[in-house]
Amino acid sequence: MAILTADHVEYTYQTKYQTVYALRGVDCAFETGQMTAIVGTSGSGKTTLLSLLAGLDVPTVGSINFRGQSTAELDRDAWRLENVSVIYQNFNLFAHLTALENAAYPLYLQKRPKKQAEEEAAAQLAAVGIRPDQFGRYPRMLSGGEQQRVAIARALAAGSGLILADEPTGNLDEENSRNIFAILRDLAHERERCVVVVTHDMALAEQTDRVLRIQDGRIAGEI
Amino acid sequence: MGEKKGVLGYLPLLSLRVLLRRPGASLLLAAVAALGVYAGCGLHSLVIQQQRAIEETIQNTVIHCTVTDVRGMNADNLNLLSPYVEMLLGRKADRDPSLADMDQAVANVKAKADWELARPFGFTLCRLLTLASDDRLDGAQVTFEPGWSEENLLWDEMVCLVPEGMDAGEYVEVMMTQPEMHASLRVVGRISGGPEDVIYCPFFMPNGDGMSHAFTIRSCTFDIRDTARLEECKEKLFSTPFFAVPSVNATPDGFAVGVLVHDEVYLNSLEELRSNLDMLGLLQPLLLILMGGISFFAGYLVNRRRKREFAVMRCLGMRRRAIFGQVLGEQLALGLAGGALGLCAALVTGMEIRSGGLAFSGAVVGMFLLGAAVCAAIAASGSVMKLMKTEE
Repeated sequence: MAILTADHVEYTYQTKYQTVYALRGVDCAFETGQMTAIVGTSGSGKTTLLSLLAGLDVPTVGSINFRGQSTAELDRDAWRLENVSVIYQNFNLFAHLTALENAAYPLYLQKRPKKQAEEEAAAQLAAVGIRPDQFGRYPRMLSGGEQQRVAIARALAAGSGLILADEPTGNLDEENSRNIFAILRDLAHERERCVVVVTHDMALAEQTDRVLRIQDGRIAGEI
Repeated sequence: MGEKKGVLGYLPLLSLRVLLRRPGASLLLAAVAALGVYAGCGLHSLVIQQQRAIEETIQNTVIHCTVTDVRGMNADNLNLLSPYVEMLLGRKADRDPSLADMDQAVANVKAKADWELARPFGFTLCRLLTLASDDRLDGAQVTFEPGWSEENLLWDEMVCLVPEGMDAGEYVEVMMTQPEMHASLRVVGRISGGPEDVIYCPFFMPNGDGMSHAFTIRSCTFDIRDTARLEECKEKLFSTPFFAVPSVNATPDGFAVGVLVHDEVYLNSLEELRSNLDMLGLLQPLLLILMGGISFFAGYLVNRRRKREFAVMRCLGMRRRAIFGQVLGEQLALGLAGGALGLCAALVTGMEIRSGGLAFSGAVVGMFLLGAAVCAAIAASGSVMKLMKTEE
């Protein structure tokens, strides 16, 4: 069942010197319990598509629909808080917070009591392989792989049905990349989340259930 | 799961921890607030000092005035008619009603006038307006009869002071230059240690036209004590028919005589103090504007490096106004801490702070927050899409 769809999505934006046509009519759908990879060359529009799927902006033409409702009609901040988690290539953890506090951050945003939020975050950290003795460490005291696990735990703690990952293994070695992908795949398959991963690594993309190739702002094919 | 959600949640406490993790930036912003408040207190303290100096100058300065001829000359050998002095002394008999309210403003009137009227019993009769007006009484002791005082020299015309050794009863009979005039002067006091052949009296001698031509005022000075009313006093003095602003072109007609008001130094000092006060009055709004500008600039520099942090917050679902509130809250904490520090520094360094100073310090912190609010608005308005594009 498609939880998220992109219908005839076009997106243009203005730079200092030109108008950029980032997406030129994208149609695609994403289902729960499925992990989808979006691959493409640099500048092909894959990160723009992910941003629109995350509700960070609305398409210039067309619509992004979540459970049949256009994101343009939603309170997108509240929608993101409850339904979307984004994982970044460079982790984007808060440097002044511990691993546990970073993982609990979405729950703090939801104004959950501190104790309850941290119990939930601790469970998610443990689920992605972070040891309890690492909970109190700041991001700079963790390896790249561990930081990305904390970022995934943050996404999990939010309880979002939609997990969007932008080059999540871009800064990791091969072993850590495989592990992170395995965690994301398990999220889709075992926890019934809709996982969309942007990557340029075809070897990793082939581990997903479905691969969308994007080129020049259009879906060029499905592998 | 039934646990109650916090009203503000835990985030405000976490956001304050950011301040400790960025000590340099936090110190910079707190220092801006501290310096602003310290400068504000300094300015306010200076304003208080200037205001006090003006008050003290007005209260403590006595403006000396000299009665001259109408051209501003011959102050030591005036040929004045007694009504002028009578006016200064406030004698009821001839006082101009328009000068009545100057009694408190004009003080230390010293007039020297003597004229030999007659020589009763070998004594010289001299006019005496006040005890201080005749240097021949220096070192002499005057003892007033019970119920009488120096005041009576001002208000009672037919009284006199006689030497201690004079064999006089309650009254002294004097003969005037005109034989038909005869007066009985009430003895109100006795002089010891002074000249032994002089009888002093504030004698009023009617002369048909209502004025006395018998006295020559040698010199006359007085002070304007209430300098707050200086201009009013001068206006009243010069609006009477007796006194005029001395002028070299003036002709000595009528009753007018000149009065030199020695107020140049006083007026210059006052003008300088008021000019300082005006300058400080200009500096205060300038400081406020400067405070807002520096706060904005410092906040902008600090928050510019946190763009990614704010964008991630937005991605996680934090609203713009929540980010605005968080950044403003951080800077509010720094502003209040810095402001308190600046206030303490001002107190330690001996600055005088009154309620006005506290209000101005509050305004300084307010401007700091205004600058911070603009920064916070900029921080909250950052484009998250741009962050994502940089990932690509």
